[in-house]
Amino acid sequence: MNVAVHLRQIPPVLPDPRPVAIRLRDLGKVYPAASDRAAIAKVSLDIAEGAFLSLIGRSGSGKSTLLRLISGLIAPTTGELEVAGQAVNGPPPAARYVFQDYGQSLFPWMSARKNVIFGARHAPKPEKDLHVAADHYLDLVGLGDVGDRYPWELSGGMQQRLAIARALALKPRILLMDEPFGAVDALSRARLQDLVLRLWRELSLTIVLVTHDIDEAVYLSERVVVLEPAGQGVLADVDIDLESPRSQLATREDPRFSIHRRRLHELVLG
Amino acid sequence: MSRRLARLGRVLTETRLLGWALVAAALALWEAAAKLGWIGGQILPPLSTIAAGWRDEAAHGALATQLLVTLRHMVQGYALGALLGVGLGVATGQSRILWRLFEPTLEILRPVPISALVPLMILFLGIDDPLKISVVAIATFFPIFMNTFAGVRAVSQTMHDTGRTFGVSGVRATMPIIIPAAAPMIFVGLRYAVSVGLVVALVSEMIAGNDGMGYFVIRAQQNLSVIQLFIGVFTLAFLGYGLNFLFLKAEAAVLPWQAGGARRGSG
Repeated sequence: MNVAVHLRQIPPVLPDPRPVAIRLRDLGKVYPAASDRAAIAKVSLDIAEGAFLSLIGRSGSGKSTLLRLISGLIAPTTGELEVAGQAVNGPPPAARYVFQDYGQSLFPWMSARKNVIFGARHAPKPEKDLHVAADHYLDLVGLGDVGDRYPWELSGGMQQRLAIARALALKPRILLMDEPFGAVDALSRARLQDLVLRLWRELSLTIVLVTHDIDEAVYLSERVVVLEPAGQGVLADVDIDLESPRSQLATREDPRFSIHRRRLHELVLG
Repeated sequence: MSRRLARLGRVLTETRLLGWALVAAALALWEAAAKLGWIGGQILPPLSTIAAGWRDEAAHGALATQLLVTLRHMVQGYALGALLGVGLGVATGQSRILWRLFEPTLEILRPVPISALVPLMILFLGIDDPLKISVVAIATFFPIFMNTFAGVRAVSQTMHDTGRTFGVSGVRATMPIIIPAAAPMIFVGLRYAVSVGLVVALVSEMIAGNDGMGYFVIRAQQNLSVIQLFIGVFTLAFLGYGLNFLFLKAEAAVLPWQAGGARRGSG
């Protein structure tokens, strides 16, 4: 507990010079008593354009609720929310959501290519040649040769790549990811992490990631926001001063990686 | 020697030889019993006599006509039942207010045996095609409706949310997401309704009117024409197999990912 109090007294980091992509002001969500979803109270955050931010916290801290609020899938009970300069009222076109449960998010009756096209077809300004565009995004995530296969013919890691390709086909500026690697094996997980880092750099995306894996949060993020255990709001806001691009071996062996990891562990487990 | 036994064991367990041998044996026993007079020859004619009669009936008799009548009753009634069942199942599965509106009516009507309704329906619809088509439509409606409803309700929250993130939600999600996602369950209802539809088409033809395979069979029984009776039963058995076979082919063509899912599940 002392540690947490001490860490909260760390002077605030210098303001991020980049423009704000996502602005939360006293954002809160209350569920009916019978619901098993985690409520969240009064969160204020500015997330810069091009940032890679992870939300961590115990189950019940409301990290997924916060991401769903940003995604426009649920409406807040209190507070204000802007994404890409627009007040959120339903899913904002600038942001794309990647679900943890890719098996329920990909459409099993469509080939991989058709899944990618589905998103692009419903965009406000669909591309002229959706097939060419779909193949481009399949290539981008390393699935160039499986466009005609069905999602259930692909491994878990490949299915989540496909879900990412489908999200990217709408040219989002923001990617919201809810424990996207939680359901894949360790090796696929490392490869997916590096894929997301590469896409983040190459496409200048803003990424908000919810994870329960502290190592993953440190490895991927520029900034980690720790939520209070029972949805009371933000417990700590930590800058991760590790060089980019990251590397699964060198970054994880960096002494600063261990320091961040230890600090966040203490904050989360309190 | 043991290698030979092992090969025999494989043939018996891994092919369908054993089961078909039983069928062949039963048919041979039938033929022998009838030919040798073990059972009164009047009740059990030899298979060869039935086969000859069937060929004759198919070429010159009313069999083909009556078969087509039954098929017509079935197809028209089934189409109506399927249209209403899928339509109402999707609507009530998606809209809570429509479900509240229709639930009591459907729950009151569902347990009523269709056979009990037939005499009443004769008063309203007469004894011809409208009666039989309606009977088939009502009987096929319920399994199709209930499976469609359950399939639509079972579409996961994640899939609904996925649609919403692409701006495809509510009624607009019906065609692109809800129906394909519920299709495996809808097909369970559709397949079950094929056999239900055949049964009630025959029953209604037996009770009322003077055409269709139901009438063909009941008339043969009243005339004590045992061979005609067996001809009817065999024809209907083949019709049942044929419809089921066609349905499985159609299902595989419409739901290729289902076949794959099943393969994946068992392998």
